[in-house]
Amino acid sequence: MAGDSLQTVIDGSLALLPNEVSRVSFDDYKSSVLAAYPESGKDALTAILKGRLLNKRLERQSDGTILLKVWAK
Amino acid sequence: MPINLFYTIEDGNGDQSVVNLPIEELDVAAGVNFPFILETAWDIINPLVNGHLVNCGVTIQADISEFTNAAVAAIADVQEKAEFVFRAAGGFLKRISLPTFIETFFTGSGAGNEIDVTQTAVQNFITMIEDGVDDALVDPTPVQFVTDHSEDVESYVKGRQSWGRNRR
Repeated sequence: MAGDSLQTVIDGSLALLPNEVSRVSFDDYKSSVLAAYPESGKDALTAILKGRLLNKRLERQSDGTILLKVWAK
Repeated sequence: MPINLFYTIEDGNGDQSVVNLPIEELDVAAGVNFPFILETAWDIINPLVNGHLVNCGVTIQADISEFTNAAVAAIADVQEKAEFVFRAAGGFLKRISLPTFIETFFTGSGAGNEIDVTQTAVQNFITMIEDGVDDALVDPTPVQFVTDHSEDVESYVKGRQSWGRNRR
């Protein structure tokens, strides 16, 4: 939302993370954050990644592509 | 001493620059799959750069003919680099410089000087350096990246644009 503080957007973005069982691709998570917070979602995502506030793991798929999965801490 | 992965990247002028990535000590006699490790790490570095991979290896050069490796971009320049800074065990720093780094991976779609950590290709690279690179497709064991003195690399600190000496 316009006018939300960065901390509010960070908290809201973290709330969009799934649990470990239903972890999602980083691209999908980034899209959901940017859709929910078009103005400051990118800044919140930067703070979340630099602050290591989420779990992440690289997974090589059967077709050889590499997918980054994220889930809540 | 740690084992060193190296990747030689060439730009449009034919200039070359080498990326060195030391990894933890491994029992090579036990059949470590170095070609797989090299290709997997390259698959993560490759989206970040627009230069051309010339060769790579550990103590011997690997066959890169099967690697994903696009033709060098006309604007590629090995003097245009991105420097990633990581924190290692014991508080030491490990700096990794990638030549021919794609400009749009800097903040502001290339207008800024900081590396944009929200770019998926960038985050893949950071995650690989922090968590290691898989040594196999099935039941992989991540091989940790280390400093020149064998301390495990643990976390990303910052990244920025940097320039080499002989830009032309």
